Formats: sequence, structure tokens, C-alpha cells
Amino acid sequence: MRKGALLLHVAPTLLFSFLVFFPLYLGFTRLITVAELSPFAAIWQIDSRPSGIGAITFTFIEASISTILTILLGIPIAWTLARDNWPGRIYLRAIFTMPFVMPSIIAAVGFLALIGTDGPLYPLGIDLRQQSGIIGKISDATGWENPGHFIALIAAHIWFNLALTIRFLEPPLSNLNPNIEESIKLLPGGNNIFSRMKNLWLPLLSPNIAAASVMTFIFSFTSFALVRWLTPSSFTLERLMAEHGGAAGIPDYGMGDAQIVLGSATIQLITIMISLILLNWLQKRNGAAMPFALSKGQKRQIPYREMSFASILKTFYFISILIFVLAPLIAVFRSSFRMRVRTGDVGFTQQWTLEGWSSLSTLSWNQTTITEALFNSLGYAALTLLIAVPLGIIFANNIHLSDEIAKIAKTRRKRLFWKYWARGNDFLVMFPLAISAVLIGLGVSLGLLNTWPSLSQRWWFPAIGHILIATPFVVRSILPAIRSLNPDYSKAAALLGLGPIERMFKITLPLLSGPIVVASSLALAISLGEFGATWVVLRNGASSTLPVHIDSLFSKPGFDPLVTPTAMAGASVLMAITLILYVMVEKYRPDGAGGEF
Amino acid sequence: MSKKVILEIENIRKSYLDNNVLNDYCLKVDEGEIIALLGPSGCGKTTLLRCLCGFEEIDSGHIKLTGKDCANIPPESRNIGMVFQSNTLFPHKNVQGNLLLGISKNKNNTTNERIELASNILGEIGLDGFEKRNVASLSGGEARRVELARTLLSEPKIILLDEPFSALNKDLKNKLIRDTRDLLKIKNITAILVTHDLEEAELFADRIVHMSKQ
Amino acid sequence: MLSTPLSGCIEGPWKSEMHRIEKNSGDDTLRILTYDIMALSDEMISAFTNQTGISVEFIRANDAGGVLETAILNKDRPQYDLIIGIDNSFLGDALAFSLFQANDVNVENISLKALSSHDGSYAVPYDMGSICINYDTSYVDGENVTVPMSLWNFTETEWKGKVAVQNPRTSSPGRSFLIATTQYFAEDTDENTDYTDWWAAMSANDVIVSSGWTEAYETHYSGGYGPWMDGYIGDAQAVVSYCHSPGVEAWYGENWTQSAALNLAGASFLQIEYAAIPNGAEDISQAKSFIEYLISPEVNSQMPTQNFMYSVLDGYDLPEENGYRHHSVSPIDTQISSENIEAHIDEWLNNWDAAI
Repeated sequence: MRKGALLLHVAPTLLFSFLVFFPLYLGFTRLITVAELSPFAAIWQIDSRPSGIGAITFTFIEASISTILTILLGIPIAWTLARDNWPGRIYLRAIFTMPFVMPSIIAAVGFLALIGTDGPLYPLGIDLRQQSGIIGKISDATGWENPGHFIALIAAHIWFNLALTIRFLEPPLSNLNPNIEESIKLLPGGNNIFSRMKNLWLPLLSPNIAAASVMTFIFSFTSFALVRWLTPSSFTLERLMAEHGGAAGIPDYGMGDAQIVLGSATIQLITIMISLILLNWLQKRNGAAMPFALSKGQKRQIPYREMSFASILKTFYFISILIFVLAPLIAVFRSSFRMRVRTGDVGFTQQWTLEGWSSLSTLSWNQTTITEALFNSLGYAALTLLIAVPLGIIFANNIHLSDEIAKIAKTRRKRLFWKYWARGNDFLVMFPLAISAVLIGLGVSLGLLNTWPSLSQRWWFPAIGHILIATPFVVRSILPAIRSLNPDYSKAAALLGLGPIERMFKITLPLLSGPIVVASSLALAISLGEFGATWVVLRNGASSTLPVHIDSLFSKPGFDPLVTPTAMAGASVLMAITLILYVMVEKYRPDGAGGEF
Repeated sequence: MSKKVILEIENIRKSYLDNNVLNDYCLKVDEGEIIALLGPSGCGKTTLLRCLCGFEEIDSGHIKLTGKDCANIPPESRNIGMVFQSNTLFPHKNVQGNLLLGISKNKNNTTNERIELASNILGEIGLDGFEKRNVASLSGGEARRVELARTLLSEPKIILLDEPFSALNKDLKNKLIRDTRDLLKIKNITAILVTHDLEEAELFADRIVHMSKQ
Repeated sequence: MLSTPLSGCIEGPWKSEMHRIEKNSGDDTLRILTYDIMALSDEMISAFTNQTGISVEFIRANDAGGVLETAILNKDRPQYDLIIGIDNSFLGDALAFSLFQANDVNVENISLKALSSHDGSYAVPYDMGSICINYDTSYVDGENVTVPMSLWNFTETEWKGKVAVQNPRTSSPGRSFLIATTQYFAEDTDENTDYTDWWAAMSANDVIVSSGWTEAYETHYSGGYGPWMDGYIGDAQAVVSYCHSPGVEAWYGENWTQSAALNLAGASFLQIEYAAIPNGAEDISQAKSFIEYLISPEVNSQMPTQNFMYSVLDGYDLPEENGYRHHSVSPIDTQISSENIEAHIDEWLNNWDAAI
């Protein structure tokens, strides 16, 4: 390998490792010093604090229930989308998978708006806020207080993660060589639906179900904005870390907080590591090459038949899910036009108003209006785009090249080296996504800012977290495209006399333009929606991002009736921008791409 | 010995959109007979097999297996075996696992008995000791044999072969064709081979039926 | 009426007394560390910038506790010239860590009440308000449920599961109220019980503990504007808040509210918020001008309507308009110095943990 190429291989890995692990290392050592306990001993301290009581149990229970329900609800959707030739199928898929790119603060306020008295569920007798109606009966029967809030949280997690099940399961279902399915029908081992499930579908799909489950579990486990707003009385470990993070770095002062944060971080890291290892093992165990259809002609899709019982059932299911996916977004938009107005002798009523929108650029909070926060957010998004996209492309290219080198390596040692280099890089870029935004933010604030406090004054500083969290999405979008790129193009170009850099810019990048648009839009959307990492880091008010600003507005005492509609109007703007970016993603998403994000 | 008709195809029609693939097609097959359907690609050979299995519904006409009209019988209950053009060995199971899927649990009670059956048939197709092999490691010819064995184990009334030999090289192909024919004859199993190769058809079949584009 | 009430009169003689900072004297930005929902209005800040040419930038720590924590973490190397929003429940800690430098701001106009915790030499009070229990008058109707005469009433069955308090470790109103209870039960006639017994009894009576003010007031409390908020549960008919919160309710509700503050001697804590210049700050004169601006009569008299806290100056009460003052209560607050708080707060917090 030439020197330049070697540098391109090693430099991004070193840089990224530094950005991920160095703050974490500094943060952890700081926590251990302040807590005066080992990470494992700190775990036992969580339950000794009022806010920590039950947090561990709550986190595991809500994440498990969210995961199971998401998978169960998602499988029929993936199945039908993959196998039925419905009209408008691709649009349905786009809508069903859209929540995944939505900022978590939008999901939080959207579900809040849904369950409020002014929301659509309350008149239907589904009172998720209080203890009346159906929910009241559940509460009376089980003695469970405010089950509605927990139900809303689970619903929001399902809403958010449904896309994972669809994206992971649809490709194997739609690309499976149909002869495989037909041949098992002709054998005794597959002559009924249950034996086909047992002998074909479960083993074939289990790696992808495992992948979707593990990702859903991790995202629900590390849920912060949704828990903060939907179940304000309950704590996930992520929320504990975020809300105790401030004092946790102060020796002789924040010992208790440091213990809570250290214990939570330890459990979280261990759980996530175990999940990822389990996933890797499951995928390896069942990871035989998928017998995919060789060409499109081999795919057979069941034509849409009107009026059969199954199709009516499916239509009903799809319409329900469609409403479920769109309802929180519509609720946010609607709430931006609703304001409580004093009427009659007692109390208020909700009335239509445009004041929320008209005060978007005037109602300010710590000298920052929503419009200014939006421009800040767009600035960080642009910076994220400029750095995360090239970095992600280089990573994807390095991983692919290492795999290729491993294939042709002459010695076993070389082969193993390049194989593990590829896997190690792959793991490294996915790491920030898995360890959760708050942990990244705490690494930054407890680690970096403690060592170099003036960093907080650098305008670009908050973008570091955004870049770390956006890069995995870029790599996931680009890597499959690079892998499926015909290497002959590059070879032919070389024979035509183009050098490596020319080949990169004239051949490879243009060929990848579709996936690059997808990656760029995703990076922008992730940066715009980022909440946890930004929330825990000390912020210069002038550079507040829109999601954090919306959160602040909702935290503001709501005596002034204008606060809620204005915050909802801000949320609507954020939602609209994300939707535009998402349309870009869907438009340029390569056909048949999936199994990634 | 009077021959019993096992399969009767009466005036079946099948069309996709404006394309008539099968038009009043008729065919009778006797028990134990091996026939070859010979014709150019696109003449409806594969469609006919798929209709026989029940993967496609016919527009009109009748398909009778041992005298019974099987219009409303789903593929899994027709007792027909098929070897597909492409490899359909399940990648998540080894050779033995694939073979065991072919054995009905109703007839053979113990697992040991079923494993023994699977090993026996491996002997008959010349793949002794292949039980634990990963299917991805099999050569093209070996994979075809295992698929045939899997189909035979399900004891179908009739076996359909959809160009199973077309991807193999010539020497291997001729040997596999002869071996397959011998095995089918020994077990007295009815078979229909679909092919576009006259030499293959002559080598394999008792009778050749020509199909042409409708 | 519904948009932020604006007087628009934050101008005046104060301007001439100020020494104007020259624009070219280096950095003309004043960086202020404060909490997320610090509510000095935009008009207050813009008027300052207009008059002095100093632009203001806020660095935000999440809450009042966060401000102190950030200040400790950045001790002697602050990234800001002024700290706003540390209150007297945290001030003792801040002084013990020697976070602030002495200032020579003239505090002669400031009321003795506002200087009761600290004399202003290191931290200058700019607003204040008492923390006490608020209750829903539609529940406490005087017939079935009567107005509590003692905090002990809240441990009885009619209040079972109906009182919302904030966790004193994560919320400054919660912390203030805890401090009030430590004194209230020390000074009552009963020698055998103290605050730990009361908190344990409250815990047995299913007291609702929330992590912050917003959750307690908007989600749990039935007497305020919570019923019109999305996340509302409404299981609490009493909540810890400001004694003038019902007044603010009335101010926005056209003189209507069903919330009232409980006027119980010694069961409230006067929270005083301070502005202070950290040790190591670069531009002391800018910071000092801002403090002087904050406590000038023109600006500080606006506190009730601009910041929803009491002015620290003598002679400026809440306005009568919309029943703001009528619905607010000025109870006899518990008396405790910030040094005393600093000396005992860890013990109180730990005992609170144990009691709950």
C-alpha cells in the first residue's frame, strides 16, 4: 500500500476513535474519582436514591415491551409490503418508515398533544392522561397508577422504531428466491403454515428479526426526550444520567450524583455491549448466504385482489397503522393553532388562533427566538453534512477495501488482519449510535469541557456530537452501495489512463450520487433532530438548537397561554424541514436497498 | 400389464394479461412413465408445471391426479414433487436437515428411523457420508442429487423436473441424467421433465412430448 | 392581553448615571451564566444593550442547581463574566467554594428582607419570592376539606396521594421547601417530632415526588393552568410552588383562578435570587453595569410582570391589576441564613432520601 492510501486508511479511524473514546475515558475517570466507588459498586447506589428507585427495572421493562410489540406489529407490515403488489405500496412504505428520522422531541410533544384533553383520543373515551374511561378501568383492576402515560410511551417507541422492523425484514422477504418457498410447500416438512414458519421463515428471518429487535431495544433503552415528557414520573437510566449529569463531575459535592451517573452508565454500556455481541452471534449462527432472487423477473408478487377476506383485513390493518403514524404529526401541527382562552365564569377553553405562528420570531427565551434557533440548527446541520458525509464515505470505502484485500490475501495472518480491520472499523462507526446520545454528551461535558473549558465558547463545538451520531447513518447508507458497485468500472477507467483520485471523483462518486444524496439528507435530519447530546452539554444560549429550544419552551412555566402554541409552531417547522429531507432520502434511495437504515 | 393413467390434463387454459400461455392443452401420463416436455423457452413448459403443482390457478380446464380433480387442492396437499431449475436447498440447514424436511412425520415415527431413511437415500444417490455437509459446500451435481433425494423422500405420486440439469457441464449432466432415470425406474415413480435440449430428453424419457408457442 | 404584557418604559434617568462602555474597548459582549428558564424578558435585555452598547449572551445550565454546578466546575477560569440565578438555598455552597469576588455595588435601595440571607457584598439580590404550598380551592371547599392549619394536616387521609412536591436534589423549589420544613418542625410546639418524621409520614401518605417544578405544577396539580396542558394528570390538589403563583394565574386568567397559597407561618421559604461576579472574570465593569441595571428602580420595579418575581426594592409590591396581588400571599417566612443552609443541607438531603 502506498503512503497516501495508508494514511487515508488509518487517519479516519484514529480521529474517530479519539472523538469517541477520549471524552468517554476522561468522563469515566472523572466519575470514578468523584463517586469514590468502582463502576460496579456504583450500580447498587442507583436504587438508594428517590429518583433512581425502580429506574433499572423500568428501563428494562419498557425497552422489552417496546421491542416485542414493535416486532409483532412490524412483521405483518413488512410481510405485506414485501409480497403484495399493492397500488401505492412504495408511498406506504415511505410513510411507515418516516418516524425514524423524526426528531425525538417531535415524537414527545406529538404524543403529548394526542393524549391531552384537546387531543383526538379523549373524546373517544381513551383518556391516557387521567384515570377515567378504559384506562381508568385498567388502573382500577390492576392498581397500576397512570397506565396511560406508560402506554403512550410504549406507543411512541413503537412509532419511532417500526421503521427498523420494516427496513430489516422487507428485503429478505421480497428478495427471497420464490422457488425456495414453493419447494418447501411440496415437502412434508412444510405442508402447513406452522411447519413453514418453523422450518423456513423463522430460521431465514431470525437474523434480521434479531437485528431489528436489538436496535429497537437499544433505542428504547436509551430513550430520553420521550421518557422526559411522556412519563415524567419514571426514569430510564438515560434520563437519570442526563438529569444528574450536571453535578456528577464535582469532587466533594456531587458524589451522590456521580454514583448514580456512573452506575447508570455502567449498566447501560454492559447492556448495549451484550446486545451487540448477541446480535453478532445470532447473525453468524444463522448467517448463511440468503438465497436471493437473481433477477427481478424471478420475483413474484401476489397481485392485489379486491374483496377477499384477507385483503379487507390487511387494508384495515394498514389504515390503522397509517393513522397511528400520521396522528402525532398532525397533532403537533393542530396544536400550534390552539390556545387556551379565558371564557365564561370559570376556567379556560381551547380556541383556534394564529398567535403561536405570529410570535415565532418574537417570543424569545434567553435572547433566542425560535427563528434564531432554527438558523443555529441549520448551521450545525450544514457543518455535520460537510464533515460526516466525507468521513462516512471514507469509512465505508475503507471497510469495503479491507474486505476485498482480505479476500485476496495470500497468508492467513494477512487475511485475518484485514478482516478484523474491516469489522473493527464497522463496529467503531456504529459505536456512537449504540452508546446513546446522553453518554456522548456526558463524555463531552464531564470529559472534554472539564479539561478545556474554553471549548464551550467555540461555536462549532456542539457539532462534534452531531457528527459522531450522524456518521453511522452515512456509513450504513454508503457501504451497501459501494459493495454492489461493479469493480470493472474502476478497472476500465484505470485502463483509460485515469489516476486514483480522478477515478474517485469522475467514476466512483458519480456512480454513488444516489446513496450520497440519501446519506446527506439523513445526516442533515439526524443533526437537526439531535437532542440528548446537546441537552446535557453546557450551552451558549445564542447557539441553542431548535429541538433543545423547543424543549426549553415546554419546560417554561406555562402561565402565559402563548407558550404552548408557539412551541408547537416551532415543532411544526422542525417537522416540516425533516419531512422535506425525508422525501429526498426516499426519492434517491437505491431500489431494493434495505437491511440498513 | 395394464397401464393406469395417473395424470390427466384436459383442455387447460392459462393466460397473463393478453398473453395466452396455455391454450386448450391436453396430456395424459401413465403410472411409472417418464416423459419429457420439449420446447423452446417461452412456450409454456414451466407454466404448465406450476399449474400442475397449484402455484398458478388455471383459467379453465381440468387437472386430474389419480382420477381426482385437484382444482381446489393447495400445492402442499397435492402430493406432487418438484425439482426446480435453481437451487432450493435451504441454506440454514445441512444436507441431513434438508432431507429430513422431505420425510413425513406421520408415517415414520421415530427420529432415528427418519435419520436412517435419509442416510439410505444418500447411499442410493451416491453421496454416502454427506449427512453433515453444509449445502453451500456442495458442487452443482451434488446439490441436484440431494434435491432429487429430498423430493423422493416425500413419496410423491409424480415428480416434476424443471430443467434441473441445464446448469451442469456435459459429462456430469449425462451421468446424472442416467442415474436419475435408473433411480426413478427402480422406484417406479412417474416423472415429467421439462427441457429445451433434445439430447437430454432422449436420454431421460420414455416418451417425448413437443410443445410449441401458442 | 394574551401576549407578553409590556410596559415599554424601561428607560429613564438611570441611563445618564451609567458610565457608557466604549464600543472599541475590546470585547463588548457580556457573557452571563444562567439557567434554562430564567425569565428576564427580552425587553429588559434589549434596553440594556441599547443604553450601554454591551450585547448580552447567555450560557445556559439546565437549572439553578446546574448554574452552581457549572460555576464550581469552572471555578477561577469562568467562561462568563456574570452569574445570574443562584438563590439563597445554593448561595452558601457558592460562598463556601469562594466562587464570587466581592463587589462594590450600591445596595442601599434594596430592602432589608432581600438582604436577610446575605448582605450583598458578594452576591446582589435582584428578585425574590416565597415558596409554599398552593392548593386547589375547588377541593379545599371549607366543608368537606378545610384549609390546613398545620403541615401535619397533609399527613391525614383527605390528602392521601394528593400532595405533589419536587425532589430537593433536582429542583430548587423542592430544595427551598425542604429547608422550610426543617425549620418549621424545629420551631413548632411538639418536641418529639421533626421534619424527618413529617416527610416519612408524607411518604406513607403517598406524597407525589416529581423531579421538577413543571412536572409537579402542570402535570399533577389540579388547581392551576395544568388542566389545559397536554400531559395533565391532576392527581394532586396541593403542590409546592410560589406563594404568588395564584397571583400569576389570575394575572393571565383575567382575575380568575381556583388556586390559592397556604398562609402558614414558618412553612414558607423566601427564595432570593442573586447576581454575582465570578472570581477570574475578565470584564468586571460590564458585569457590574448589568447588576446595577438589574437593581435600578426602573428595571427592578418591573420584576412582577416581566419576571414574575417580587422586586427586591422597598416600596414595589405586586400590581393590583387582574387580582395579581389579591391572589398572592405574603406569609411569615422561616428565617435561616445561607451559612446555616450550607452547613446542614447535605444532612437534610440525606435524611430526606431516607424518609422518602
